[in-house]
Amino acid sequence: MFVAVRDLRFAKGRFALVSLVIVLVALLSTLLSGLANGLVDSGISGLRRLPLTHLAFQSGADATFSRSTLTPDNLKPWQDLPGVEASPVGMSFFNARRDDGSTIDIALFGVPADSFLAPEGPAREALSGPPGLILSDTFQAEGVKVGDELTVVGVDRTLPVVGFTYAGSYGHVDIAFTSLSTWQALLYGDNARDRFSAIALRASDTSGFAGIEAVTGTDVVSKTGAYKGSPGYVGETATMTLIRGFLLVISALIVGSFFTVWTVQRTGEIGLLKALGASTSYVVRDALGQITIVLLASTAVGAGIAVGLGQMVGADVPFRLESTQILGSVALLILLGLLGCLIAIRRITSVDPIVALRSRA
Amino acid sequence: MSLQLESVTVTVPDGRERLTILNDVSLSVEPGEVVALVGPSGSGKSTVVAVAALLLRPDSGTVTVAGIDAGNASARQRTTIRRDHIGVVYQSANLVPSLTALEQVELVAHIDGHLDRKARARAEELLAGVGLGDRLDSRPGELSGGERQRVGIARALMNSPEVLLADEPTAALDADRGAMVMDLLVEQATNAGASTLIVTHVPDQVRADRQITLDHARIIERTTTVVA
Repeated sequence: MFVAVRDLRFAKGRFALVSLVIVLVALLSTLLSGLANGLVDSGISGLRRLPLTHLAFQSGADATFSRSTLTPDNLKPWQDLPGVEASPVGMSFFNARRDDGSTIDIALFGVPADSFLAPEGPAREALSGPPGLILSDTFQAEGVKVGDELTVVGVDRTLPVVGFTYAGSYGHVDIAFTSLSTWQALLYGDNARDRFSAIALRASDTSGFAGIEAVTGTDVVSKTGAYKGSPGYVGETATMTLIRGFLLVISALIVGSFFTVWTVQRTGEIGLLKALGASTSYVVRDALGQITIVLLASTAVGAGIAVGLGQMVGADVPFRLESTQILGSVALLILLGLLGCLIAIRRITSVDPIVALRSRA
Repeated sequence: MSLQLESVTVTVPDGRERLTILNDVSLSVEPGEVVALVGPSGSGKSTVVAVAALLLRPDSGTVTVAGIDAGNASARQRTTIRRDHIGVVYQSANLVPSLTALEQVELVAHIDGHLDRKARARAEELLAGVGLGDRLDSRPGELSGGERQRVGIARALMNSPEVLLADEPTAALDADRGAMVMDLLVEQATNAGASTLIVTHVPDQVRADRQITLDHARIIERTTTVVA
């Protein structure tokens, strides 16, 4: 990269301009990653933290709790399957009114107190006691305390807050737990007939699933497969992915265009290098090195700024960045940037060294 | 013999026909010898340099450089021969804008894969030899036309070439500077013991051992008279 590095130092202004564009694209791309992660968290973090591997829904429910209703008859074969733990789970969205008249939304999971789904620690004990609600930690920040009473709107049933558990949300609504029987009473009143939404499964071997699915009229999805049932999840992630995709393609086009024009302007110089005895691989390495330096430095700066901004955003904005995702995003930008430069590289390989004789530089 | 062109013919497309720009040209240059190649514009002088520098394949004829028959060499082999055995001084200095004078010369060693302390010392020595010992860190934009051309001479000599080619190296300079650069080129080439072929439209500038005159793509005259 003898010439490449010196070109970078010499033509600072020109490279600064394209670097700035790449910085902005990397910044936007990384910010969008953070927002996408935040939205995913907001959509399914409650479900993600549940200690299950699969969920069995009523056949045709498309992994959506509200479309699925199962009974103990559906549950039994799953519980009898060797090597599989199975637990009924209910899930519904409720609105609850506080003493001061304000209301909160809750994604309420109804689970048996002895289920592997039940929150650990004091919350599990609270679940086995009199009917009550175990709320996501998030509600503590809103001033809700153990002992407060919440009235579930619609059924007008008042339940005490009996504890708090990990923060999580489902369908952008903070989660809460209650016993399965309480959940059934809230949803079905006196006509519960032991119904619930889905069957949570914990299994390392799924070979017996197909047979039980057929027998019980259920569809099994993995935990991640169940994310799509969260309201808005598919649309949000698809939108974010599309925007990021466009950004990456635009970035590749910008970088590719810049280096193509830059290569056209350098035709005489490249011809000279070849006339001096440089192999095609030498000049390609030189050019690729230059492109890589610009891409690496710019994307690193852009991603760095995004991380900084991410730490400044408040809790109201769903935002989460993981180092692996940042690195992945940066790597993808660099890779696509290099792909965008293929035309430039192709041009470099085709420069005839005889142009050195015609050059007037 | 370090450079030999034997019955070289070069044609280029001209509509449906082909235009002959070199017609059965034969010449040779011995080690340490300086040959001036003169002739009117369009006579084919620069084409001779292009063929001798292995930048252009002739339609027919043979080209031998440093004892190597380059006629059938692959593009990669021709690149290697250029790198190891040929130095070229261009009409314009043809320097890389981002490199300092020293780096222009070091570039040759870098391309050859041995830019070490010894190579750096040689580059400095060559630049000092052309009177630019105090301009090592100057970029082309900071040098005069004559200084740029002197950097070009130092660069052409960096790989200790058996064959040194110069394509109207003083064309862009005024008469005084041109004469000075030409003297320097001949002096350095002679010191290096290279077979030197200098294309010029000012024959009086070159203190050559021999002069070859081209016209209408053919050699029309050869003289051994030393032009002072």
